[in-house]
Amino acid sequence: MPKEISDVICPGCGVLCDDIKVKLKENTVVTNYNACSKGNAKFLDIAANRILKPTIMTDKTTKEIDLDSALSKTAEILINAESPTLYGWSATTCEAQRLGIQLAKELKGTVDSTSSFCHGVTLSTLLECSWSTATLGEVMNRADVILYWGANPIESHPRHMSRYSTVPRGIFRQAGKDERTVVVIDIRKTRTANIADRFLEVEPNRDFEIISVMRSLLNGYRPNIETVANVPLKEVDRLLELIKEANFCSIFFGLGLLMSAGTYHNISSLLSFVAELNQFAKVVAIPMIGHYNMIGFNHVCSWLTGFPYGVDFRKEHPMFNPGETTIVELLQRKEIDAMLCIASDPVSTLPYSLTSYLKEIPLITMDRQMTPTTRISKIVIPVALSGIEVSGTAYRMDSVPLYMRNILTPPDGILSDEMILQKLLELVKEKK
Amino acid sequence: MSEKKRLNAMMIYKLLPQTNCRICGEPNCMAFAVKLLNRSVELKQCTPLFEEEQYAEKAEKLKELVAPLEQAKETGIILEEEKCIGCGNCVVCCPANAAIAPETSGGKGVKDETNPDLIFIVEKGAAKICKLEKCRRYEPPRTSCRVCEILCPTKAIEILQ
Repeated sequence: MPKEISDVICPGCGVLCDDIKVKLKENTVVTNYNACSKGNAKFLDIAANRILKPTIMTDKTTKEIDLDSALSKTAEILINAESPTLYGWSATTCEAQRLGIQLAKELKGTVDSTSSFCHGVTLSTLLECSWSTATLGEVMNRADVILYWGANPIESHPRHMSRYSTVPRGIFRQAGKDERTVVVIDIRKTRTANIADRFLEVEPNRDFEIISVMRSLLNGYRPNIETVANVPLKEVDRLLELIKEANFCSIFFGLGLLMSAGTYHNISSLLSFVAELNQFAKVVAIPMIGHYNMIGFNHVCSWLTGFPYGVDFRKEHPMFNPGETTIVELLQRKEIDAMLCIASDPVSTLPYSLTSYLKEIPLITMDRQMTPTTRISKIVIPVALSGIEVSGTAYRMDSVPLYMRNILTPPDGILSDEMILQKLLELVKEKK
Repeated sequence: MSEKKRLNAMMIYKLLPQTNCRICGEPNCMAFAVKLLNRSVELKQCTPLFEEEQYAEKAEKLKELVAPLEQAKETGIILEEEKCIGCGNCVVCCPANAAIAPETSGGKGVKDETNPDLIFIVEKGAAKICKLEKCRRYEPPRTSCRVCEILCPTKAIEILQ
């Protein structure tokens, strides 16, 4: 194994930086250069709380079992269930996601990813409106106005600004930050706002009003108000002028916009606004995807089933109905009787009122480390760390697919998500 | 996460003996505190602080507090690694760094960490200053450049007067 590897892809967040340099000793990363604090934790904290053997829980006692028995029992549970669900997906490779969706179809169950309460919703607005977008490289080379709406990249994607959007000197932006105007719209002065040129502090839950007012102004109708969502109308005017006069404006929107009052209406309104703005200037919108391969699942699922997430195979044809076939509602209505959880920790991320039901059904979790979800699982299958110990494809936040080459090998006996799912698929086809 | 307050003369003064004994050569402890902040005096000049038992705890705290100042040297730039989140803004925006490691000009990370002239590099998730002397504030033409301080989102970089 070489001592030094350059141009490693970091599976830390949606920016998927491809310029990390790592130094290895035996099978561990000793140090790394260029990765931010989030990426650094991904490379260095691999051994922490690691699970090394599959386990099964019967009558509240957990004991280790061999992998073949674990897989056999898992296949049995999933086949015998009337309404199994496969959930998670955002932190694993596209190769694994593809197999997972096939498995859900074979089992006649449901499959959903964490995107159903996150940016998957953004993609489902595409069913309603057009989407003017660009890659991060185009933003770096061309954008002179950057707007962060409900997003705080410094804390969620630390290298977003320095690697792509704000600081670098692009082909047509040789002066870097000096040629760019950065605007932040948020409910509080975040760290990103600290280094921005303009900051609009809005009242929480009222972003839809600002988008509506901006659309009215753009179309020549001036509303008879002094302020909108606590922002003076003059400021909104100034912002609109800035965007209209821009060479290339990039709007990055995050959960601040998506998960406040209005939810997907905020996004569909914003994307329609961006489409209208393109009469005046080149404007694009890019979602701030959190997980390193969340949008990858949406792409894979779309080309396999036609739907971005929340697919229901229980009837003869795949169905998609957010609010009915998505994980939150399936748990709420207790409509599932078995769950395979992969690359996710729902007990930590979903509310207790939903996850308490997971104690009542057989839960199989595939994870690298101990989490609250593995603690209550009936079967736990340890897996390798996707992207670092296992090669695979991931989609960056701007939907650019990148192939991650592994720099380490997993411990003995631990397989990748893809291999485990392949085995499960074969077992299920055999036993049905 | 709360931001630590920037070091100021009052914080130093509170940990000094506050006796105005003038052994350091300054007229009073407040003057010593101000001069310590702009590095015209050194902490060890306050001999009572280190010789008398009653000030032992204060001496320890002060030593810790002024340690980054002692690293500041000629350029007067300090980078507090505990505040740094590794965003890389300093690595990319520094014009001198961009000339020394051209790949950083376009946002990419440093290719060769052994380059002896490198100013900023991010290692293990935090930035650090390598060759302070290559900074534009020190090397001719000695400009009053502050880009790294302005673009640091956590105020980990401080340029002292």
